[in-house]
Amino acid sequence: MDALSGRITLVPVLLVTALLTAACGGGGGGGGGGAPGNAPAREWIIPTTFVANGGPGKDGIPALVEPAFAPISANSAVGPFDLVLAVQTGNQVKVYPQDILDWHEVVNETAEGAPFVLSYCPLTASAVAWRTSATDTDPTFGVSGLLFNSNLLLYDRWTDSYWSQMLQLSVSGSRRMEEPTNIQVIETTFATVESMYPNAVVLTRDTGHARNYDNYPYGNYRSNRDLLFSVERGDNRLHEKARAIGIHNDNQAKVYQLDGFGSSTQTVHDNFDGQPIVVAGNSAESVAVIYSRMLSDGTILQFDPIQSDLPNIMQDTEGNVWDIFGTAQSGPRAGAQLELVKSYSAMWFAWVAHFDTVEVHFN
Amino acid sequence: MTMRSALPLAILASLPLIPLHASAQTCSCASVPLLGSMQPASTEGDEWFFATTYEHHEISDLVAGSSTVPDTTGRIRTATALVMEASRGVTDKWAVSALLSSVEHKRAIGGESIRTSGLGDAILLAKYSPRRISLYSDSALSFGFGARVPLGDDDLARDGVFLSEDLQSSTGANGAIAWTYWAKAMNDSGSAQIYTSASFTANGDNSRNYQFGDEATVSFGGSIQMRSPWGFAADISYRNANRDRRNNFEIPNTGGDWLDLNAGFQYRVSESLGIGFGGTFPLKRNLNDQLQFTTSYAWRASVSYVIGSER
Repeated sequence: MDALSGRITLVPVLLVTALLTAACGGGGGGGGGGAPGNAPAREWIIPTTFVANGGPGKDGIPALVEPAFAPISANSAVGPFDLVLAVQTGNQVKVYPQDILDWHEVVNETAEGAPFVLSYCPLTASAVAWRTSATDTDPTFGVSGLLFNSNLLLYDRWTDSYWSQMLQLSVSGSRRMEEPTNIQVIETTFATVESMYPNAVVLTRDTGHARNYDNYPYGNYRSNRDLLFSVERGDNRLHEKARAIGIHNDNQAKVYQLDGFGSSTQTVHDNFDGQPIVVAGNSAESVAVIYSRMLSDGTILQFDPIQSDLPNIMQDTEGNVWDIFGTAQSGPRAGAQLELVKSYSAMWFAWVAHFDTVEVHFN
Repeated sequence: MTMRSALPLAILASLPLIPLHASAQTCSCASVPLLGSMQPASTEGDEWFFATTYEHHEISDLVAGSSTVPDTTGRIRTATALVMEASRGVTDKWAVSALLSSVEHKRAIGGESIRTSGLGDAILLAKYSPRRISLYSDSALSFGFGARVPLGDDDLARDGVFLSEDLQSSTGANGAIAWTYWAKAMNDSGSAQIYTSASFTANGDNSRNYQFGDEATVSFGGSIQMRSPWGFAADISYRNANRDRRNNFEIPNTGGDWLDLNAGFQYRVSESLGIGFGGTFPLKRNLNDQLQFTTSYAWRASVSYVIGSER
């Protein structure tokens, strides 16, 4: 019996010792620039409490690089009411179906020798495009796998700096505090962009990745009130997922509900952060844009909406006709460009989460 | 058949070659494989049972619904666990078990890699076995119920940001476990058996309000102990997992249904000591929503030791 007791005592001790030995390397670790354990190797200018790991990991959602486009007339995959993004590079309008971007989030391209990146966050329904540096050895961006306030954090492959899509700001890394240069992105339906730009080209599903682009990857997320990740603050003035176009600075935003423009085109003259702006939108066509009303010569323009002539959306008191990309198509300032502002459309909860103060124009 | 001669059968049933619960929650929000390493049979009165299992899960299958799709990112995802179990037969019908785990997760994609490791969860289980296979009974029946206790870290971080739940060594949440196991001898010696088991795991929230989906598993299979020291077992298991939840909201692309083949063999070194090797191979999967990573295969190696009573 004594011998048996000795065996009984010894075996569990050996087992527990082995287990603890195996666990001794505990903690997070890794290569490729990661910091071991809980020691932060990065400095962030945003509260990391609301930086979340999305799950797939860095590049787990594959960004597209120089993807294939096809003439819009050849499209058979995108439905007329499907939401798309449109970017104008030179005389070419490129169209990006959101059902492809849901699965890739970042598209790296070069247009007229200049690289740019377009990003779309399916959790906040926000899209921006930034010029990237042609001098970088690798000017492309990837999906970091991290989210801030449930919104995409991109990373640049040249310096591994992290960029908040909605803040439009590098928030970690050697380019911290750097702001990108915007390119105007228009969000609308495929039918609207097809009617406006019949010579546009559309991002094809030939991405090199096996994804079912007909299916939305996040269930009924777009319509329910659920948030998948914690955010800094909430506000119930609007439905969490209501789409609104807005303008922002570092900590303030003003938004305009996309379904508040009505079935005819409207223009709204407003001021944001001391800057005169014009908001033009048409709910039926599911399109809205925001531009500065002040020209580089100091002139402040007054606009009236143009009906049923998209892409021309407004004209000013000087007789200039402006299209949705902010280019004067006719008039004394033909060819001029309205100054871009920091604007995009996004879900309501995301505006509130990212900015301390959010004013709503259409409530 | 004396109790002593029945011991090898107990070892065979006890060796964790066949998961009691093919539990690798290895969807995109994986947890740690754990309950799968626990022995299904109960320990007899005054017996001690010890087992050490090393489990390796390859989590490389990218699945859309029930279809496997190629993963063009070339990523590597593995989870391994060292699981140690000690069981003590309190009476002939009641036993208690404790299980400790150490878990390691690895992820690599492109030039990036990350490895996490640490103590995982523990399981404390009470087992009630009203019937055992013996000279007087050709069937066995056991029930178990207990708790999963998060001993390890669920707040591992990198670059100051918490890693996702599938990279934590512990779920960080308490849980409740219930299972049942039934076996029937198919010959006089009891060396051939068929068995079935069912289990249910209810999971709580961790400190970040993340909850792994509750799981239910049913399996059916058979085992045979040769006249030689070799024994073999195989079963088919069905597992259903609910979607994970965060802040009580369901997380898309988690949970689903799995049908797996589990097979293994064991070698009886002595009447008390056995070693074994087994694997899990997916037969069919139907996973929730659009895209999930899940287990391609798993293998496990075990050593078990029984210290019997001098009756």
